[in-house]
Order: sequence, then structure tokens, then C-alpha cells
Amino acid sequence: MKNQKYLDDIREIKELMNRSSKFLSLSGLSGVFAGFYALAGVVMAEWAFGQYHTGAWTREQVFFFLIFLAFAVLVLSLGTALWFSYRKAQKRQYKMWDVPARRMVAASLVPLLTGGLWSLILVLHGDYGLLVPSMLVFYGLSLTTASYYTYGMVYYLGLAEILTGLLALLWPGYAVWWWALGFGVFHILYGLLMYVKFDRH
Amino acid sequence: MEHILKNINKAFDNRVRLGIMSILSVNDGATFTRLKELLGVTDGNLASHLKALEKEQYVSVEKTFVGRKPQTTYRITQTGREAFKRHIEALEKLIGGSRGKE
Repeated sequence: MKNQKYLDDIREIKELMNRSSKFLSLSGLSGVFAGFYALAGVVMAEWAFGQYHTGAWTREQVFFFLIFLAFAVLVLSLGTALWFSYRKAQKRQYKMWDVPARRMVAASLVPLLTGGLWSLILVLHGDYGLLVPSMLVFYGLSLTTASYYTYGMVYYLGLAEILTGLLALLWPGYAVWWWALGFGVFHILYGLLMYVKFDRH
Repeated sequence: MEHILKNINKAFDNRVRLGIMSILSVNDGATFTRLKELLGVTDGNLASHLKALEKEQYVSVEKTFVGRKPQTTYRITQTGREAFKRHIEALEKLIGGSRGKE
């Protein structure tokens, strides 16, 4: 039927527009895992604070433990994201590291690296109070820029992170909980939504 | 009906050419290799369709060197963009759908 041919044409056009300009190998499960790593990190950080209050650990010990923890969460999250993206790309027979993937990384790198250096300088100044809000806001900004080269939903995750960061700045007393909400809960919610919408067949 | 069919462009009445235009309409240029990867066609097939689109002045070609390797980059022209837009609109009218939001 002629109509079916036109319908197929439209579908083909949309599919190619998307696939050629967006990084579609991003998996929802990466978000879920990143969220759980973040929550596990919060639990361990709370435990470390407990050790400090009972006098078992010194201030320096807690400090280095937290730095180590932050890196562990980051490396695990990135590693998991890469692994799931690689698998998704293979399953669909796309190349993972294609042009949109490179564009997405390049676009998000500016706010991400700025935020990284900014946070490092805060640590150097001992200005820990601003650390959590800064991380959330810069991470959110990098997500909103990255979203132009991947699933549109990433944009809303970015907005949620920015908002959480601003609230954390407004009420600085609950830094750990804002962190858990932004990096933990929102990642899990977003990941599940993504998974249900795009990945599950 | 007739005026809609008039906007259905014969130059796009082929999967590969339609694919090329779709890719070029949302990307600031694409190399020959990238088009080949995305469309999954042979060199010869792709080259002949690109030539046809080039002849209609729907795409422009730019040859550069990356190191010693020649690289051919294709871009959509203003004429091509307009023609492709009319073609899509005609397709959408024919299938009776309202203009998609995306």
C-alpha cells in the first residue's frame, strides 16, 4: 500500500535524524546504579562522621576517607555507565564512541571541569560548606548541556540537580541529605523512568 | 491531492537518498565514512546517490586532508533544506497525520 510506504519513510527519517545526532547508547540502568553507589557513599560517610564523634578517627582520617569515597563513587558510576552503554551499543549494533557521543562529552566537559576545579579550590580554602551545593549545581549544568546530544530527559535531571544545589545553598545544614537526594534518589528515579521508557523491550 | 503529490520529490524517492538528507539536515556536515556507517550501504551505492543529490544541488561537497588521508565532507545546501522540508510536509499530509511535534 502506498500509504504504508510514506509512513515507513517518515519513520526512517526520524530514526536517522535521532541516531545521527544523539548519543542513544546511554542506558537507564547506569543512572540506577550511580544512584545506589551515591547512597552507599552517604551511609559510609555517616559512619565515618560517627567514628570522628566517638574519637576513634582524627579529623584528617575522616577527611581522607571522604576524598577516597568520593573518587570511588565517581569511578564506579562512570565505569558502570560505560559498561552499560557499551552493551547497549553492541546489542543494537551501533558504535558507542560515535560523533554524537564525542559531541556530548565535549559539551558537558566545560561545566563539569569548571565545577571540578571550583570544588577543589573550595577544599583548598577549607570552605566545605559550599562544596555540596557547588557540586550539585555544576553537575546539573553539565547535564543540561549534555542533554542536547542525548535523550531529552537528561535535561530535566539537570534541572532537578541545579534546583537541589540551590536549595542546599539556601539551607546548608543538611548537606548530606541534599547530596543523597541529588546524586542518589534523583539518579535512581531518572534511571528507572529511562529504563521503562526506552530500554525495556 | 494533486498539489500535495507535486511536492513529493522524485529525488528523495529512494531509501538511501532519503537517509542522506535526514542525516545532513540535523548535522553540520557528515563525512563519507560516517554516512556509510549510519546507512549501512556499500561505497559505490552511497557515492552514486550522493552524486545524484549533488547534481540537484541539494548537497555540497568539501574535500580536505586529515594528515595524509583525504576526507570528503557533505553538507546540506539551502536549496536542499527547503526541498527536503517540503518533501516531509507532503509525506505528513499524505499519511493524514497532523504535523508531528518532534
